[in-house]
Amino acid sequence: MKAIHERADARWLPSRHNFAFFRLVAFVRLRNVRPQPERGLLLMVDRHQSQMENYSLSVWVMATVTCFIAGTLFGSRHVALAFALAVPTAVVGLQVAIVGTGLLVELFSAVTGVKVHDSVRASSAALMLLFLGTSAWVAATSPTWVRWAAWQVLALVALNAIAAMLLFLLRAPIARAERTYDEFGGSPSGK
Amino acid sequence: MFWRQLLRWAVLHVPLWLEPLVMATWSAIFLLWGAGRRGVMANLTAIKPGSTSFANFFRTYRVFWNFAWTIADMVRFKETRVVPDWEFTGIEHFESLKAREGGAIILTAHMGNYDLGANLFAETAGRQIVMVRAPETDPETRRFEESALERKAAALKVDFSTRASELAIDLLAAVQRGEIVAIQGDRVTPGITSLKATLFGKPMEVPAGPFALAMAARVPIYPLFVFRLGRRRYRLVTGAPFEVVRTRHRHEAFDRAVAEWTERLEAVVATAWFQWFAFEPFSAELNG
Repeated sequence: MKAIHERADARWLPSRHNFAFFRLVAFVRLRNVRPQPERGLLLMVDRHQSQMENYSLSVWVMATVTCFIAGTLFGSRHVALAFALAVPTAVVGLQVAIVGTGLLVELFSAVTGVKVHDSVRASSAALMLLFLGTSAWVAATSPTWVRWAAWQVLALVALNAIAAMLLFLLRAPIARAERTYDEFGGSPSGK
Repeated sequence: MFWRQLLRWAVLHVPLWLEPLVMATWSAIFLLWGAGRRGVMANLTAIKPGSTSFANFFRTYRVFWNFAWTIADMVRFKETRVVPDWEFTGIEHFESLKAREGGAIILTAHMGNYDLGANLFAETAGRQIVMVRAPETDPETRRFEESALERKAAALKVDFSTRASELAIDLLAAVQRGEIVAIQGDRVTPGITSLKATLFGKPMEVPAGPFALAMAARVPIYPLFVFRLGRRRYRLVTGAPFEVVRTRHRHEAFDRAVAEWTERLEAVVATAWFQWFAFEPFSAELNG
């Protein structure tokens, strides 16, 4: 695992982010940030390192699923009551989906004999597809306010796709920007 | 044992963008663990005098939340070698500890990610470090932990504080060989010699081992704490070293050293109470 030593601005390296939208935002920040030397600081270069990205996505998924459940299962009740019931249902539902997907990945591996080298990635892709599929279905079929919750998911996915295209076009300047940190790079145990 | 395996499974399967959600949920579920919850709440009454049980209940959630993240980060490090970001406070003391030719003692507490801190220290310092810790009481859990220890940093040796007399000799030899010994000084394992101390105005006991070892080997004690700052981000705080000066009056020397240690521990716990993973009351006065 590569580490950047003593440069606080390296937290905006696109390679420390996963989704295209966050990688693009990071690149824009990186271009506008001054060098920030910080003695002793050690920043790891891993695409899942960003706190902001992972917390934002968790909150976003939880809020959207809560809306789906409130509108679909408890929609005929009072809105506040619907949300009060939807929050714990969403919490339990998401845990079941996460565990279920993880077990399915293991089952797939056991049945087909295909070794899944990165179960986190496989579960991640399956859950994202499930989330997007549900959103598309709700957007297409729901006549109530819930369809707006579904449409915002599809809009953000479209935004991420645009960001991915921009990242592709910007791949050369991004690579150059990342390379400027090579002189501070090394393993976690030393330069 | 079941919980350790579940945690390992989760680390190897849960999508990282859903991890905060999983942490939030399981931290809430662990509030059902009555003994641990009551232990933390009892400690909080001493750390935050005048605090209400209602507020301390939510503070306990924060302790569990931080604990969940730190143990998950440790399992991730062992399983996939993913290292969090690190920053340092008191880096001059950390550098002096790394550069020391002779042995030294690191005195730490059950705070933040002490296991991960020891692994990182062993890798960055290039020094042999012996970490002394209390063993798991459940034999199956102990076997599971021992198998996990095989994936630790090469320069890190873990020893358990149950075999007190042999361990004392081994540790003395290790320090005299120039190795660094890391000991947790905020909890006493049954059967271990202790010294009386005061923390937040309450009587408590701290292990005598690190102080006796420092006196016998004439090496300094470095207080060192590892704080979790956020997702995959930690701070290693190294304090100025202190010595247990050998005099005619051993007890006075120990009293001074223990007072020095508890003063620093108290300052650290007062600011980062949400990362002090003491799930039992630290003082007998807080029981019941």
